[in-house]
Amino acid sequence: MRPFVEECLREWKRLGVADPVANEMAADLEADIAEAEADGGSAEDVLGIEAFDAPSFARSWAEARGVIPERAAAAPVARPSRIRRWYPVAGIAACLLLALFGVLLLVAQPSKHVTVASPAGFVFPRIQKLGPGAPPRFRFVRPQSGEKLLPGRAVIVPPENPGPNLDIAGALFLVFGLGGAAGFGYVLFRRSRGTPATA
Amino acid sequence: MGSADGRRTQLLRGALDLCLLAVIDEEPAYGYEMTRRLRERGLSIVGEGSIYPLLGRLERDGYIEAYRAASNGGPPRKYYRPSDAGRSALAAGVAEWRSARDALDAVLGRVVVEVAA
Repeated sequence: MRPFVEECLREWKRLGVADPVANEMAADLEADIAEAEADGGSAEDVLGIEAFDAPSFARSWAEARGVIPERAAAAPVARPSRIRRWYPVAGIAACLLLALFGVLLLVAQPSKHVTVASPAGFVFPRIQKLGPGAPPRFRFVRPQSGEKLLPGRAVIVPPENPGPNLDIAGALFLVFGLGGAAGFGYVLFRRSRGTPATA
Repeated sequence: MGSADGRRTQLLRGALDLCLLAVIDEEPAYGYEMTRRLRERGLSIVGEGSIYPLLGRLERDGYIEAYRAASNGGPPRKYYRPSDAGRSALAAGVAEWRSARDALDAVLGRVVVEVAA
């Protein structure tokens, strides 16, 4: 059997075309190409430019005949479109952003708060000190009842009011972000090897 | 404006199903034999792709029927012939093609083409 026909046969089997149908198509194709060559021609006389892309030709023929099982027909094509080709990369980037956000939530957990009155007296920038030597971080909050501040003056927020605990949320973002990035990385890896991910 | 080759390809593609039906309506044929008959009449249609997907679609849609038979000195081949629905579609398609051709001729037939010596 010619390499082109063998490649078509592999693609049909990969797509789930029933063996008798795939073998029949392969036999017809083989006989046609052989006859074209006996006429002094080549596979191009039978297949045109499709003679250079066996998987694409095999798929289009099987699709046209309606011999691909529905599940395989809905599966990503061997040569995905530009959007499909890039969605694992976009997924990795999005998951890494999630993980980064989780890290930020974890490290931004304040050890103590210092609140400073804003000039307008409506919104207060809260300075979060992360520890000795750590740079302050700013967050805008509404004034809490009982906080009476003069413009430009700072007060220490009591330890019993340290703000929401973000450790759990940060850890969840981190775990799901890294897990998702690993999953998309696996899909990308399988595609680069020419094998569709079954997940 | 598209190139002359591009326009010819588009025109042929639009009528290729009719051409295949017409060829096998004269006498049943297998895949390569259809290609050869069309080429003998000046239609080299496989440059942009093969006829197999189109044959598959026609078969799936019930316009052609297939059967196996021995070929001249070769292995048994899959021959195609038009079904009743295929013959009706061929008749309708040919009428449509002639109507479109006449309308185009009414416009393009007035153009005087000068051929350089």
